Amino acid sequence: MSVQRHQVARRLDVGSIELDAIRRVDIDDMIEYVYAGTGPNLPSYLELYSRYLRQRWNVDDLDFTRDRQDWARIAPDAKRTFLQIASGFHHGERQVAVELAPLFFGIPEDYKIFLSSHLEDEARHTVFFDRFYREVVGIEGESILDVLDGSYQYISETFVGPFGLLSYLTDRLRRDPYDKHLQMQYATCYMLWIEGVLALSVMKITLGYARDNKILPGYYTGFTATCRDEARHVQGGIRFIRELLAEEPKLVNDLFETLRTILVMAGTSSNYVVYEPIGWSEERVRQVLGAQTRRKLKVVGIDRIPDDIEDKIERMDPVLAGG
Amino acid sequence: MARRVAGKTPRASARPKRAAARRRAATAPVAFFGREWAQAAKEAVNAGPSPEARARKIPRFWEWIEKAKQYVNCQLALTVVGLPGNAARNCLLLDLEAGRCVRSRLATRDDAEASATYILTGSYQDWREIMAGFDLGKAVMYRKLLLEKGEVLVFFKSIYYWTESLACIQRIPTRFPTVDTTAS
Repeated sequence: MSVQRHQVARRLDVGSIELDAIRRVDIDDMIEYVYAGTGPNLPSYLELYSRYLRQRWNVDDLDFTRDRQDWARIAPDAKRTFLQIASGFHHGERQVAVELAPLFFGIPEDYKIFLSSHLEDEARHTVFFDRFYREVVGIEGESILDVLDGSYQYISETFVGPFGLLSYLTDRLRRDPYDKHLQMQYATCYMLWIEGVLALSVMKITLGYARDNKILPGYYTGFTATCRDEARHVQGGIRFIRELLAEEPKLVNDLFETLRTILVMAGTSSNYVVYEPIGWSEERVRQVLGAQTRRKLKVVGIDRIPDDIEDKIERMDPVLAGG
Repeated sequence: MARRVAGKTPRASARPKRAAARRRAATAPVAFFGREWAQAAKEAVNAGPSPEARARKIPRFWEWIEKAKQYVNCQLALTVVGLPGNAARNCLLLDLEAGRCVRSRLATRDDAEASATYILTGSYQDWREIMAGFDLGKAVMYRKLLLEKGEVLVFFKSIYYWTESLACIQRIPTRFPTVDTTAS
């Protein structure tokens, strides 16, 4: 993107732009939008719900005709890297959609209202990736799960780390939805890590590639709109974590322990991802993830990161996925 | 020396027969959650991944697992819900020391509840799918295997050790009991 066009994009009102114009938004501006409401006065759950009503988009409005033509021209090595990253979201969106329900029982009433919109968003994101994999990548199937099975080959074995953890924490929360320790562990894994750090970092990679090469407009539009939805979820999650900490400061130990487990799992990967064909490098990915982790901890009110966690952030090699 | 190379001594000639017997034993299906299966599970965990499985992942993944093993000092119970036949002993207890299985035995659910650090549970149907090759990552994420007992956060600090060990158990040639659908 040229400097001039970048400046025009920056002037766009990210919060109110319609779907047909969202292609003009730079992904970096969208990621900054996440932090716009994370100061001392976070938006309330009901404000976030109103924002959802204004920003909601229709996944059926996306047109993948150009994407299909672009896809046919992408070099095989770039295509493979793209699929390794995008498939982490294809499966990640499904995972975060199906793991949300047990949180409803034990949270504040206003959060329940907002969470209903969060759940609808995740279902829509799952359908967005389903459409992309069917109509652009060309994976066939009779059901959502068939198409997911078709793209499973591209995701890393280490995907089970954060998403398996979320699955098992969800099961514990289902059994005891009022347990504040479990709520904190769940929110740290789901809202802080998977949505706040992984999703909002890894999104940059494929969206940056699409933007810089002026390709895949349907994907860019849908995924950028997804990013705006994630901003609401992360803001709601940050509010929830702050409220838990205000109510019981010792819950910070659950946040740290969850993060320790996540970062231990993030200490390896099971396969190499060659980023260079789509204009990235492993070191740059690690830097972005590290910066996002520190920033998210700061906005939930952690002023000092324990040394052992800081050390793990420096060395992490996390799964490329999000939801 | 020449005779030994030619395999003419009684001792040497017995070796190929024993090896063949071991191969037969290794490939003959054993009854699911039977005593032989419990022994085979212990051997499979200790044998680790096949060379083919090892080659499919990068070295630092296996290095991570080697490092994680030192923290795996516990008892894992694998349990089946709805096991046909001798349903009382529906738990396999694996005693693990530094990631190595030192003992395996079948037990009741009550035994497992009393002694196991972790209990991983699946339905009989889900176990059949797992033993038929269902992906272990999906088995966790789609909750075909549930962690019914044990600290979730501690368990996941060694998660790839667990999934790879289950993948080793998955390789055991297994025979399943016939379910009598006519029984009331």
